[in-house]
Amino acid sequence: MAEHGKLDIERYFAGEADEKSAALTQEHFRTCASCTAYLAKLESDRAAFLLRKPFAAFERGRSAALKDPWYRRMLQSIMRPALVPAFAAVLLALVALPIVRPYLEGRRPDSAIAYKGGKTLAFVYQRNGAIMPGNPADTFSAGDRIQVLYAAPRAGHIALFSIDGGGAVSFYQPDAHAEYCTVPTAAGADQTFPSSIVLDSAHGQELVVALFSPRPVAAAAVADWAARYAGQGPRDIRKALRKDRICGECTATTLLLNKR
Amino acid sequence: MIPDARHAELKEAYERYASMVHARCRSILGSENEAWDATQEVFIKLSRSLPGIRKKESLYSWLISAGTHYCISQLRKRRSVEFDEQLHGQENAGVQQERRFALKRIISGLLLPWERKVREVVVYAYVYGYRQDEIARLTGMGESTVRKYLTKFKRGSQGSKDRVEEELNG
Repeated sequence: MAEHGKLDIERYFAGEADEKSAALTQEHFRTCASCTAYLAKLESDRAAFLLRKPFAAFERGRSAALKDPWYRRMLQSIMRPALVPAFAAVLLALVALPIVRPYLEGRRPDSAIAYKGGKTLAFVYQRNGAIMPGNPADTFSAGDRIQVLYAAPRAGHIALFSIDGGGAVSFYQPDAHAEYCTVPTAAGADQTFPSSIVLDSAHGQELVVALFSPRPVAAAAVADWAARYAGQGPRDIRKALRKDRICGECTATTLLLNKR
Repeated sequence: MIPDARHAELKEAYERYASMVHARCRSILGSENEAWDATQEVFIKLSRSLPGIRKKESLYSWLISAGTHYCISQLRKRRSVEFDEQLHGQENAGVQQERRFALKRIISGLLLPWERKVREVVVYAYVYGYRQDEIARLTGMGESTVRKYLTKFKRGSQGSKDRVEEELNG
Protein backbone atom coordinates (compact mmCIF):
# COMPACT_ATOMS: atom_id res chain seq x y z
CA MET A 1 0.00 0.00 0.00
CA ALA A 2 3.07 2.18 -0.40
CA GLU A 3 1.92 4.19 -3.43
CA HIS A 4 -1.77 3.87 -2.80
CA GLY A 5 -3.13 4.98 0.50
CA LYS A 6 -6.28 3.69 2.17
CA LEU A 7 -8.21 6.71 1.00
CA ASP A 8 -7.47 5.99 -2.69
CA ILE A 9 -8.75 2.45 -2.30
CA GLU A 10 -11.80 3.51 -0.34
CA ARG A 11 -12.70 6.10 -2.96
CA TYR A 12 -12.12 3.56 -5.71
CA PHE A 13 -14.33 1.11 -3.83
CA ALA A 14 -17.02 3.77 -3.36
CA GLY A 15 -16.92 4.59 -7.07
CA GLU A 16 -15.63 8.09 -6.43
CA ALA A 17 -12.27 7.75 -8.19
CA ASP A 18 -12.08 9.49 -11.55
CA GLU A 19 -11.30 7.46 -14.66
CA LYS A 20 -7.57 8.08 -14.56
CA SER A 21 -7.02 7.29 -10.90
CA ALA A 22 -9.37 4.29 -11.12
CA ALA A 23 -7.21 2.89 -13.92
CA LEU A 24 -4.05 3.52 -11.89
CA THR A 25 -5.59 1.86 -8.84
CA GLN A 26 -6.64 -1.19 -10.86
CA GLU A 27 -3.14 -1.44 -12.26
CA HIS A 28 -1.76 -1.20 -8.75
CA PHE A 29 -3.94 -4.08 -7.54
CA ARG A 30 -2.12 -6.42 -9.94
CA THR A 31 1.10 -6.02 -8.05
CA CYS A 32 0.07 -5.16 -4.51
CA ALA A 33 -1.28 -7.95 -2.35
CA SER A 34 -2.00 -5.73 0.66
CA CYS A 35 -4.11 -3.27 -1.36
CA THR A 36 -5.98 -6.14 -3.01
CA ALA A 37 -6.62 -7.65 0.39
CA TYR A 38 -7.85 -4.30 1.71
CA LEU A 39 -10.25 -3.96 -1.23
CA ALA A 40 -11.53 -7.50 -0.61
CA LYS A 41 -12.02 -6.62 3.06
CA LEU A 42 -14.04 -3.53 2.16
CA GLU A 43 -16.20 -5.64 -0.14
CA SER A 44 -16.81 -8.36 2.41
CA ASP A 45 -17.43 -5.80 5.18
CA ARG A 46 -20.03 -4.07 3.03
CA ALA A 47 -21.78 -7.31 2.17
CA ALA A 48 -21.83 -8.41 5.82
CA PHE A 49 -22.96 -4.98 7.01
CA LEU A 50 -25.83 -4.72 4.52
CA LEU A 51 -26.93 -8.19 5.49
CA ARG A 52 -27.12 -7.16 9.14
CA LYS A 53 -28.25 -3.60 8.59
CA PRO A 54 -30.05 -3.20 5.27
CA PHE A 55 -31.45 0.18 4.27
CA ALA A 56 -34.81 -0.88 5.71
CA ALA A 57 -33.18 -1.22 9.15
CA PHE A 58 -31.82 2.31 8.82
CA GLU A 59 -35.25 3.60 7.87
CA ARG A 60 -36.82 1.92 10.89
CA GLY A 61 -34.19 3.40 13.17
CA ARG A 62 -34.59 6.74 11.49
CA SER A 63 -38.30 6.79 12.23
CA ALA A 64 -37.60 6.00 15.87
CA ALA A 65 -34.88 8.63 16.05
CA LEU A 66 -37.26 11.20 14.69
CA LYS A 67 -39.73 10.55 17.48
CA ASP A 68 -40.01 14.24 18.30
CA PRO A 69 -43.07 15.63 16.57
CA TRP A 70 -42.23 17.34 13.30
CA TYR A 71 -43.46 20.73 14.46
CA ARG A 72 -41.23 20.61 17.54
CA ARG A 73 -38.20 19.72 15.40
CA MET A 74 -39.08 22.54 13.07
CA LEU A 75 -39.39 25.02 15.91
CA GLN A 76 -36.11 23.80 17.42
CA SER A 77 -34.28 24.12 14.13
CA ILE A 78 -35.50 27.60 13.31
CA MET A 79 -35.56 29.15 16.78
CA ARG A 80 -32.02 30.47 16.98
CA PRO A 81 -31.42 33.52 19.17
CA ALA A 82 -30.04 35.56 16.27
CA LEU A 83 -33.20 34.95 14.26
CA VAL A 84 -35.68 35.74 17.01
CA PRO A 85 -36.33 39.35 15.83
CA ALA A 86 -36.90 38.11 12.26
CA PHE A 87 -39.28 35.37 13.40
CA ALA A 88 -41.08 37.78 15.70
CA ALA A 89 -41.67 40.05 12.70
CA VAL A 90 -42.90 37.12 10.58
CA LEU A 91 -45.17 35.91 13.36
CA LEU A 92 -46.54 39.40 13.87
CA ALA A 93 -47.22 39.70 10.14
CA LEU A 94 -48.79 36.25 10.11
CA VAL A 95 -51.13 37.14 12.93
CA ALA A 96 -51.78 40.77 11.95
CA LEU A 97 -52.35 40.42 8.20
CA PRO A 98 -55.61 38.46 8.34
CA ILE A 99 -56.99 41.07 10.75
CA VAL A 100 -55.79 44.12 8.91
CA ARG A 101 -56.50 42.98 5.36
CA PRO A 102 -60.33 43.18 5.53
CA TYR A 103 -60.10 46.71 6.86
CA LEU A 104 -57.67 47.62 4.10
CA GLU A 105 -60.06 46.13 1.60
CA GLY A 106 -62.88 48.23 3.05
CA ARG A 107 -65.03 45.42 4.41
CA ARG A 108 -65.90 44.10 7.83
CA PRO A 109 -63.48 41.54 9.18
CA ASP A 110 -64.40 38.03 8.19
CA SER A 111 -60.97 36.75 8.94
CA ALA A 112 -60.07 33.11 9.06
CA ILE A 113 -58.24 33.72 12.32
CA ALA A 114 -60.65 34.97 14.96
CA TYR A 115 -59.74 36.41 18.29
CA LYS A 116 -61.82 36.00 21.37
CA GLY A 117 -60.93 36.70 24.96
CA GLY A 118 -57.35 37.48 24.04
CA LYS A 119 -56.54 33.98 22.69
CA THR A 120 -54.84 33.78 19.34
CA LEU A 121 -54.59 30.96 16.87
CA ALA A 122 -52.11 30.39 14.08
CA PHE A 123 -50.79 27.31 12.34
CA VAL A 124 -48.02 25.73 10.33
CA TYR A 125 -48.56 22.88 7.92
CA GLN A 126 -46.59 20.03 6.42
CA ARG A 127 -47.09 18.96 2.81
CA ASN A 128 -44.93 16.37 1.02
CA GLY A 129 -42.31 16.64 3.74
CA ALA A 130 -42.02 20.44 3.50
CA ILE A 131 -43.11 22.57 6.45
CA MET A 132 -44.61 25.97 5.74
CA PRO A 133 -46.19 28.75 7.76
CA GLY A 134 -49.95 28.52 7.46
CA ASN A 135 -51.90 31.19 5.66
CA PRO A 136 -55.68 30.87 5.88
CA ALA A 137 -55.91 32.19 2.32
CA ASP A 138 -54.11 29.06 1.04
CA THR A 139 -55.91 26.03 -0.31
CA PHE A 140 -55.17 22.76 1.42
CA SER A 141 -55.22 19.16 0.21
CA ALA A 142 -56.05 15.80 1.71
CA GLY A 143 -53.05 14.56 3.67
CA ASP A 144 -51.81 18.01 4.67
CA ARG A 145 -50.84 17.96 8.31
CA ILE A 146 -51.83 21.03 10.28
CA GLN A 147 -50.23 21.96 13.57
CA VAL A 148 -52.06 24.62 15.49
CA LEU A 149 -50.13 27.18 17.54
CA TYR A 150 -51.93 29.25 20.10
CA ALA A 151 -51.41 31.84 22.77
CA ALA A 152 -53.36 31.73 26.02
CA PRO A 153 -53.43 34.72 28.39
CA ARG A 154 -53.86 32.47 31.41
CA ALA A 155 -53.61 28.84 32.35
CA GLY A 156 -56.65 26.69 31.67
CA HIS A 157 -57.80 23.95 29.32
CA ILE A 158 -57.97 23.75 25.55
CA ALA A 159 -59.77 21.43 23.12
CA LEU A 160 -59.27 21.26 19.38
CA PHE A 161 -61.81 19.90 16.96
CA SER A 162 -62.80 20.43 13.37
CA ILE A 163 -66.03 20.53 11.44
CA ASP A 164 -65.79 19.79 7.74
CA GLY A 165 -67.98 20.84 4.79
CA GLY A 166 -70.20 17.82 5.39
CA GLY A 167 -70.83 18.82 9.00
CA ALA A 168 -68.74 15.97 10.43
CA VAL A 169 -67.03 16.78 13.73
CA SER A 170 -63.58 15.37 14.50
CA PHE A 171 -61.97 15.75 17.90
CA TYR A 172 -58.21 16.03 18.23
CA GLN A 173 -57.24 14.90 21.63
CA PRO A 174 -54.37 12.79 22.91
CA ASP A 175 -56.70 10.14 24.33
CA ALA A 176 -59.68 9.29 22.11
CA HIS A 177 -61.42 7.52 24.99
CA ALA A 178 -61.04 10.30 27.53
CA GLU A 179 -64.13 11.76 29.12
CA TYR A 180 -62.81 15.24 28.59
CA CYS A 181 -61.75 16.57 25.20
CA THR A 182 -59.58 19.32 26.68
CA VAL A 183 -55.95 19.22 27.71
CA PRO A 184 -54.40 21.52 30.31
CA THR A 185 -52.58 24.53 28.94
CA ALA A 186 -50.22 27.02 30.50
CA ALA A 187 -50.43 30.73 29.85
CA GLY A 188 -48.15 32.02 27.11
CA ALA A 189 -47.59 32.32 23.40
CA ASP A 190 -46.38 29.81 20.76
CA GLN A 191 -47.92 26.81 22.44
CA THR A 192 -48.69 23.72 20.40
CA PHE A 193 -51.62 21.40 20.74
CA PRO A 194 -50.35 17.84 21.54
CA SER A 195 -51.71 16.35 18.33
CA SER A 196 -51.83 17.62 14.78
CA ILE A 197 -54.63 17.46 12.21
CA VAL A 198 -54.34 15.44 9.02
CA LEU A 199 -56.87 16.72 6.49
CA ASP A 200 -59.14 14.13 4.91
CA SER A 201 -60.36 14.06 1.32
CA ALA A 202 -63.66 15.89 1.98
CA HIS A 203 -63.79 18.96 -0.26
CA GLY A 204 -64.90 22.44 0.67
CA GLN A 205 -64.21 24.26 3.88
CA GLU A 206 -63.10 22.88 7.20
CA LEU A 207 -63.56 24.82 10.39
CA VAL A 208 -60.92 24.23 13.05
CA VAL A 209 -62.11 25.24 16.51
CA ALA A 210 -59.93 25.82 19.56
CA LEU A 211 -62.01 25.88 22.69
CA PHE A 212 -60.54 27.52 25.79
CA SER A 213 -61.97 26.97 29.23
CA PRO A 214 -60.81 27.49 32.81
CA ARG A 215 -62.05 23.96 33.56
CA PRO A 216 -61.94 20.65 31.64
CA VAL A 217 -64.76 20.32 29.11
CA ALA A 218 -66.54 16.99 28.60
CA ALA A 219 -66.33 15.62 25.05
CA ALA A 220 -70.07 14.83 25.25
CA ALA A 221 -70.90 18.50 25.85
CA VAL A 222 -69.06 19.50 22.67
CA ALA A 223 -70.62 16.64 20.71
CA ASP A 224 -74.11 17.64 21.92
CA TRP A 225 -73.49 21.22 20.93
CA ALA A 226 -72.19 20.21 17.49
CA ALA A 227 -75.20 17.91 16.98
CA ARG A 228 -77.47 20.95 17.22
CA TYR A 229 -75.80 22.38 14.16
CA ALA A 230 -75.36 19.14 12.18
CA GLY A 231 -75.77 19.69 8.48
CA GLN A 232 -74.90 23.38 8.64
CA GLY A 233 -71.85 24.67 6.83
CA PRO A 234 -68.66 25.71 8.61
CA ARG A 235 -69.40 29.40 8.15
CA ASP A 236 -72.78 29.04 9.84
CA ILE A 237 -71.26 27.02 12.64
CA ARG A 238 -68.67 29.69 13.16
CA LYS A 239 -71.43 32.26 13.49
CA ALA A 240 -73.23 29.96 15.91
CA LEU A 241 -70.12 29.71 18.06
CA ARG A 242 -70.25 33.46 18.55
CA LYS A 243 -73.87 33.47 19.70
CA ASP A 244 -74.33 30.08 21.34
CA ARG A 245 -71.46 29.23 23.68
CA ILE A 246 -70.53 25.58 24.08
CA CYS A 247 -70.22 26.11 27.82
CA GLY A 248 -70.65 29.12 30.04
CA GLU A 249 -66.99 29.94 30.60
CA CYS A 250 -65.76 28.71 27.23
CA THR A 251 -64.45 30.89 24.46
CA ALA A 252 -63.83 29.58 20.98
CA THR A 253 -61.31 30.64 18.40
CA THR A 254 -61.58 29.39 14.83
CA LEU A 255 -59.60 28.84 11.67
CA LEU A 256 -61.47 28.36 8.42
CA LEU A 257 -59.48 26.31 5.93
CA ASN A 258 -60.27 25.82 2.25
CA LYS A 259 -59.74 22.30 0.91
CA ARG A 260 -59.66 21.16 -2.67
CA MET B 1 -41.28 11.76 4.90
CA ILE B 2 -38.67 12.57 2.22
CA PRO B 3 -39.35 12.97 -1.51
CA ASP B 4 -38.91 9.86 -3.68
CA ALA B 5 -35.89 11.16 -5.61
CA ARG B 6 -34.04 12.03 -2.42
CA HIS B 7 -35.10 8.74 -0.86
CA ALA B 8 -33.53 6.83 -3.79
CA GLU B 9 -30.40 8.93 -3.53
CA LEU B 10 -30.17 8.31 0.19
CA LYS B 11 -30.65 4.57 -0.29
CA GLU B 12 -27.89 4.46 -2.88
CA ALA B 13 -25.54 6.44 -0.63
CA TYR B 14 -26.36 4.19 2.31
CA GLU B 15 -25.67 1.00 0.39
CA ARG B 16 -22.46 2.41 -0.98
CA TYR B 17 -20.95 4.10 2.07
CA ALA B 18 -22.67 2.98 5.28
CA SER B 19 -20.35 0.03 5.92
CA MET B 20 -17.31 2.30 5.76
CA VAL B 21 -18.89 4.94 7.99
CA HIS B 22 -19.85 2.21 10.45
CA ALA B 23 -16.30 0.81 10.49
CA ARG B 24 -14.85 4.26 11.11
CA CYS B 25 -17.30 4.95 13.94
CA ARG B 26 -16.63 1.56 15.49
CA SER B 27 -12.90 2.30 15.52
CA ILE B 28 -13.55 5.45 17.59
CA LEU B 29 -16.42 4.32 19.78
CA GLY B 30 -15.33 0.72 20.19
CA SER B 31 -18.82 -0.72 20.18
CA GLU B 32 -21.05 -2.16 17.46
CA ASN B 33 -24.22 -0.65 18.87
CA GLU B 34 -22.80 2.80 19.33
CA ALA B 35 -21.29 2.67 15.86
CA TRP B 36 -24.70 1.75 14.45
CA ASP B 37 -26.31 4.67 16.31
CA ALA B 38 -23.62 6.95 14.93
CA THR B 39 -24.05 5.60 11.39
CA GLN B 40 -27.77 6.27 11.58
CA GLU B 41 -27.17 9.79 12.85
CA VAL B 42 -24.75 10.49 10.02
CA PHE B 43 -27.22 9.29 7.37
CA ILE B 44 -30.10 11.17 8.99
CA LYS B 45 -27.92 14.25 8.75
CA LEU B 46 -27.14 13.34 5.16
CA SER B 47 -30.84 13.01 4.31
CA ARG B 48 -31.31 16.60 5.50
CA SER B 49 -28.20 17.90 3.77
CA LEU B 50 -28.31 16.05 0.46
CA PRO B 51 -29.48 18.93 -1.70
CA GLY B 52 -26.72 21.15 -0.30
CA ILE B 53 -23.83 18.73 -0.67
CA ARG B 54 -24.69 17.34 -4.10
CA LYS B 55 -22.15 19.55 -5.82
CA LYS B 56 -19.32 18.70 -3.48
CA GLU B 57 -16.50 16.65 -4.88
CA SER B 58 -16.61 13.74 -2.49
CA LEU B 59 -19.58 12.48 -0.54
CA TYR B 60 -17.22 10.08 1.21
CA SER B 61 -15.19 12.98 2.65
CA TRP B 62 -18.40 14.57 3.90
CA LEU B 63 -19.59 11.35 5.52
CA ILE B 64 -16.26 10.59 7.17
CA SER B 65 -16.02 14.11 8.51
CA ALA B 66 -19.62 14.08 9.80
CA GLY B 67 -19.10 10.65 11.37
CA THR B 68 -15.85 11.65 13.03
CA HIS B 69 -17.29 14.80 14.57
CA TYR B 70 -20.37 12.94 15.74
CA CYS B 71 -18.30 10.17 17.35
CA ILE B 72 -16.01 12.62 19.11
CA SER B 73 -19.03 14.45 20.46
CA GLN B 74 -20.37 11.12 21.72
CA LEU B 75 -17.08 10.42 23.51
CA ARG B 76 -17.42 13.76 25.21
CA LYS B 77 -21.04 13.16 26.23
CA ARG B 78 -20.83 9.58 27.32
CA ARG B 79 -17.46 9.05 28.89
CA SER B 80 -18.65 9.44 32.48
CA VAL B 81 -21.68 7.20 31.97
CA GLU B 82 -19.89 4.50 30.07
CA PHE B 83 -17.47 3.76 32.84
CA ASP B 84 -20.19 2.14 34.87
CA GLU B 85 -21.81 0.37 31.93
CA GLN B 86 -18.63 -1.04 30.51
CA LEU B 87 -16.76 -2.03 33.61
CA HIS B 88 -19.54 -3.04 35.89
CA GLY B 89 -22.13 -4.43 33.50
CA GLN B 90 -22.54 -8.20 33.88
CA GLU B 91 -22.56 -8.88 30.16
CA ASN B 92 -19.44 -6.82 29.56
CA ALA B 93 -17.24 -8.24 32.27
CA GLY B 94 -13.80 -9.40 31.19
CA VAL B 95 -10.31 -8.25 30.55
CA GLN B 96 -10.87 -7.55 26.85
CA GLN B 97 -13.78 -5.29 27.66
CA GLU B 98 -11.73 -3.43 30.23
CA ARG B 99 -8.86 -3.08 27.82
CA ARG B 100 -11.18 -1.84 25.11
CA PHE B 101 -12.69 0.62 27.51
CA ALA B 102 -9.23 1.77 28.61
CA LEU B 103 -8.30 2.41 24.97
CA LYS B 104 -11.48 4.31 24.46
CA ARG B 105 -10.81 6.41 27.53
CA ILE B 106 -7.33 7.11 26.26
CA ILE B 107 -8.69 8.21 22.92
CA SER B 108 -11.23 10.48 24.52
CA GLY B 109 -8.88 11.72 27.24
CA LEU B 110 -6.17 12.62 24.79
CA LEU B 111 -8.40 14.04 22.10
CA LEU B 112 -10.98 16.09 23.86
CA PRO B 113 -8.74 18.89 25.16
CA TRP B 114 -7.74 19.75 21.61
CA GLU B 115 -9.48 22.06 19.18
CA ARG B 116 -11.82 20.56 16.61
CA LYS B 117 -9.48 20.63 13.61
CA VAL B 118 -6.61 19.05 15.54
CA ARG B 119 -8.90 16.31 16.81
CA GLU B 120 -10.09 15.57 13.29
CA VAL B 121 -6.56 15.34 11.92
CA VAL B 122 -5.43 13.16 14.83
CA VAL B 123 -8.31 10.73 14.35
CA TYR B 124 -7.66 10.53 10.61
CA ALA B 125 -3.98 9.85 11.20
CA TYR B 126 -3.91 7.61 14.24
CA VAL B 127 -7.32 5.97 14.34
CA TYR B 128 -8.17 5.64 10.64
CA GLY B 129 -4.56 5.32 9.46
CA TYR B 130 -4.63 7.88 6.65
CA ARG B 131 -1.43 9.41 5.34
CA GLN B 132 -0.80 13.12 5.70
CA ASP B 133 -1.41 13.80 1.99
CA GLU B 134 -4.69 11.88 2.23
CA ILE B 135 -5.76 13.88 5.29
CA ALA B 136 -4.97 17.04 3.39
CA ARG B 137 -7.22 15.88 0.53
CA LEU B 138 -9.99 14.81 2.89
CA THR B 139 -10.05 17.99 4.94
CA GLY B 140 -9.02 20.53 2.32
CA MET B 141 -6.14 21.64 4.59
CA GLY B 142 -2.62 22.05 3.31
CA GLU B 143 -0.20 19.21 4.02
CA SER B 144 1.91 21.57 6.09
CA THR B 145 -1.11 22.38 8.26
CA VAL B 146 -1.81 18.70 8.77
CA ARG B 147 1.82 18.16 9.72
CA LYS B 148 1.71 21.15 12.08
CA TYR B 149 -1.40 19.83 13.85
CA LEU B 150 0.08 16.36 14.27
CA THR B 151 3.32 17.77 15.65
CA LYS B 152 1.39 20.03 17.99
CA PHE B 153 -0.65 17.07 19.22
CA LYS B 154 2.40 14.84 19.71
CA ARG B 155 4.26 17.51 21.67
CA GLY B 156 1.22 18.46 23.72
CA SER B 157 0.38 14.86 24.54
CA GLN B 158 3.91 13.88 25.59
CA GLY B 159 3.01 14.23 29.26
CA SER B 160 0.16 11.77 28.81
CA LYS B 161 2.38 8.98 27.52
CA ASP B 162 3.15 7.57 30.94
CA ARG B 163 -0.50 7.61 31.90
CA VAL B 164 -1.38 5.81 28.70
CA GLU B 165 1.19 3.07 29.31
CA GLU B 166 0.10 2.74 32.89
CA GLU B 167 -3.51 2.40 31.79
CA LEU B 168 -2.72 -0.19 29.14
CA ASN B 169 -0.41 -2.26 31.35
CA GLY B 170 -2.85 -2.21 34.20
